[in-house]
Amino acid sequence: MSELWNELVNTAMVGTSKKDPNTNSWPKELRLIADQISQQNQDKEDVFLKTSGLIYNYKKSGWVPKPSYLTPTEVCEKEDLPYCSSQASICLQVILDESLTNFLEYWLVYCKNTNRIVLPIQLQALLEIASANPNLQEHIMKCCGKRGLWLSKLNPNWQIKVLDSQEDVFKTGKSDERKKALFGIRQSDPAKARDLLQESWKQEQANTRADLLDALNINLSIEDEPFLKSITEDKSQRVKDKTYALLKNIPGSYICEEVFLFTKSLVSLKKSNALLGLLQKESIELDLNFELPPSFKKYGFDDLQVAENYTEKELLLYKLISSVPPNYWENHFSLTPVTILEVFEKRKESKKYLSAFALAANSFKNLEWAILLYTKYKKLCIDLVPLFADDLKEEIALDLVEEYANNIYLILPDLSKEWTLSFCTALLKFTVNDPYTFSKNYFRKIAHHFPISILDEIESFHPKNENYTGNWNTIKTEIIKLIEIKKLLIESF
Amino acid sequence: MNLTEEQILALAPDDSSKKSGKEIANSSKWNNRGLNEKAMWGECQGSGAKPYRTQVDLQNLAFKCSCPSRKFPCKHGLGLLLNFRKTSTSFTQKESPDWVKEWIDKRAEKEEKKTEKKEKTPDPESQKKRLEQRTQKINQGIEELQLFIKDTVRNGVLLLPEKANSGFRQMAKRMIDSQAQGLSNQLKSFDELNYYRESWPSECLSKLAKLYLICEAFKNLESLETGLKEDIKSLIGFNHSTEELKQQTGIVDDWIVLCKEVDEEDQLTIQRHWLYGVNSKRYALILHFAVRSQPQELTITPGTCIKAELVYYPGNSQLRALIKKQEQTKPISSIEGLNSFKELNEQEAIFSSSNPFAEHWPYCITNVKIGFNETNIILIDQNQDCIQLVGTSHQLYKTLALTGGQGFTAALLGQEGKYSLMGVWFNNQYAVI
Repeated sequence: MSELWNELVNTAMVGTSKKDPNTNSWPKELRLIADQISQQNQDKEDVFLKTSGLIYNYKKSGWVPKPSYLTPTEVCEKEDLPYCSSQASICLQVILDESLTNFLEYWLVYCKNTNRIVLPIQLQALLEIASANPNLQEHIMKCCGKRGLWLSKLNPNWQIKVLDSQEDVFKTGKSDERKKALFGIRQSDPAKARDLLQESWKQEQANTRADLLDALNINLSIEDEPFLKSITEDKSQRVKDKTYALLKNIPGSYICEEVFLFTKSLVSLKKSNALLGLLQKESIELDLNFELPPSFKKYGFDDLQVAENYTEKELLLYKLISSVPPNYWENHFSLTPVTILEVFEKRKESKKYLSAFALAANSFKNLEWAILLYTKYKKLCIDLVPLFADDLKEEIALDLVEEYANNIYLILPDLSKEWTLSFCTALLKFTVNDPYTFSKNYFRKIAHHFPISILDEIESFHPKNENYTGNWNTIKTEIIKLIEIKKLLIESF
Repeated sequence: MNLTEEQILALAPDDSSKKSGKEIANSSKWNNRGLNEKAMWGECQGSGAKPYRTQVDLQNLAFKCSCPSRKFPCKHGLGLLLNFRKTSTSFTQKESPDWVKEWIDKRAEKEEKKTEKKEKTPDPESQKKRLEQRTQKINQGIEELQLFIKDTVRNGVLLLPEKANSGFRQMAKRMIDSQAQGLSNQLKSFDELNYYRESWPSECLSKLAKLYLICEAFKNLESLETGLKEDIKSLIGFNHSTEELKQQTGIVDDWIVLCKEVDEEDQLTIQRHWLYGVNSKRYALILHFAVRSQPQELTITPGTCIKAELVYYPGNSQLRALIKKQEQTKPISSIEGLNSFKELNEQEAIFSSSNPFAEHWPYCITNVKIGFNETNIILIDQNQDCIQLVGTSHQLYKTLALTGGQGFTAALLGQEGKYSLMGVWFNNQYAVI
């Protein structure tokens, strides 16, 4: 049949003035009709078009279904878990329609925690999101059930890397994926992550080496020292700088010991008698007439920035103190952390080094010192906030709400936690006066942390500048909508 | 009243209404919400002092709102339905307030008046004269058109891509002058030819041959049997009076709304709803035309089932119909479809012989599965025969997500072995694809 039609198409292409269709090979019945058409008409084009019409209809009516040349898609296994409720599904659809990524994560956590899975009708949308947002992949795949897993493997464009083992991703993925995988492995198995890095080290490019080295910041320990020592002579300056920075932060490493040995010679505890010998006074004396050992240059101690109220030597000493584990001073001075800090606080010359201890506590992950430094001196070790107790976190959040409003997760790092009403009230009181910085988009990212009870308070916030009232009203409507979505979400599960 | 969000949004006249409707679905915007079996209502605070009063006729899915928007339904109507979907408990079951009752009663009165209203009987002599004049114009147009088609095939279609369809567009305008709107539409469809596709010469010849045949058929109209005659007249552009059609007895059935297609042509919006009668096992195509700024009167939603009386337009196709009476939406039941592609093929041969000019036919076929590779998507029946599926990867994965690779009942539209998937029945639920 296609031959008959193709013959006509070829004729149409070049034109009937140049070619006539060859009907000799046509089936008898068709040739009969074609001949009748020819006989009734003189006009070549008329004959051609009528004949084409004949074959056009013959072709349409004459197709037959072919045997399948593909096998049907393999059937998915049955689900073990029940589907979420239709209300939860509606809530999810609202979240997807509004593109509320943070709410989506929140919804997925609820879904997983209640051992439910997403309805099939929403799987495709979620897998599209998983493909585009690697940080959501794990959450999504946990809620997609067997059908989601099955479906994700059918579409090569959905590169759901979370399904592969992290080791496989490190070996075969793109650079961002490899870095993320290495970070992931380092969380659960620091030695394995180090071994993988060591194995691939020589094949990596300089920039990649430097990027991957960041993974060792996680669970850094003395066991990492041999590997880091072996790469201190790397060709890349960036790699060298990062290596020394890591070695500096390992308590007990050769660099740490060397730095402490030098620094303690500059910081001495002077004891003197007071009140006719009845009391002993302690104070810190600092020796600023020093020259750094040559090796300290490569450890990163020579690139000083200018700081107000610090001379060059004072700044160097500051850096040295911040590079010593704070608990080393406890043994050195035989004093408790509280006392050490009090002694440093006594004199103006030594008080300026209190924040150096905060940096040290942060670098060496010393929780005891970090808590003490904040509670007594309001010096914050930002990296250690996740380890603080909830009430301290709340205190920090309330104290620093204005400073960290734009980086809330630095002081409230738990992404799944609901914030207290008092904190949210403080936040809104501050942000209401700057609707351009703290816009609708700002609240879309964080509103899922707000308690539902904020709805009772929301009308009480007004910007001081009346010109901002219109903007604020728009933001307020958005916040109310977002909290209602949260309410719907909670009720759905 | 159990519409999905997709179904509610399908009522929106444009994307910006969908977006605004979703924004306004927030409960904080609404007060005094209520419903009963006839209507749903609420008051929505806008920028003005007085809130807007929005109401929905639940039996016929019609909307009214006191806002100044000219869109239909407006964002408030959509928002009210969406809000009900999210928070139905906030709606109190009660007697309608006066402003709702008044509207519902007026609508019922209007419906009654429509059925009672007598048609002004047209003067048969003038009608005949107008018809003769029109037929003469069409015949003149057809002569010109056939000459054009012959010139095209004489010179060969190879050079058509260079001419960018200018000849067809000119001819389309001529056909409007000849009062043959249908032929004009056929000519405009040459703009859909994709000259980068290998198959374009075959598609081009198919269109030319079909157009030529329609012209020949019109010239020999009186020799055709009645049904085919009506189909040809319809293809040329003759219309039927909807009021006259509504006088006829239609088919009362539960009609599943299989899908909706929307096309924009110049200033016109064309909606095509494909329906399937559960008991009569008949298909129907409801066509609705609206000028873009005007409200859409038709409110049937894909994926729902309506109890309605449909009257078919005359012709062999027996597809195009209009809704004479619509009662209420019902839950969708499952259906019995064809059992194999061989049966589909036999059915298609019968359809094609009754109307050779139809572009596509609808079918429902049970127990089919999907097979696909990088370039093709096929449906496989229980005899392991297959047909080509025309569609997007989005549709493919949506279907697979719903069915999990198991056999399902498919609602298809197409012909000659190539079909698009309108919807899927699986686990006693219908989903529009």
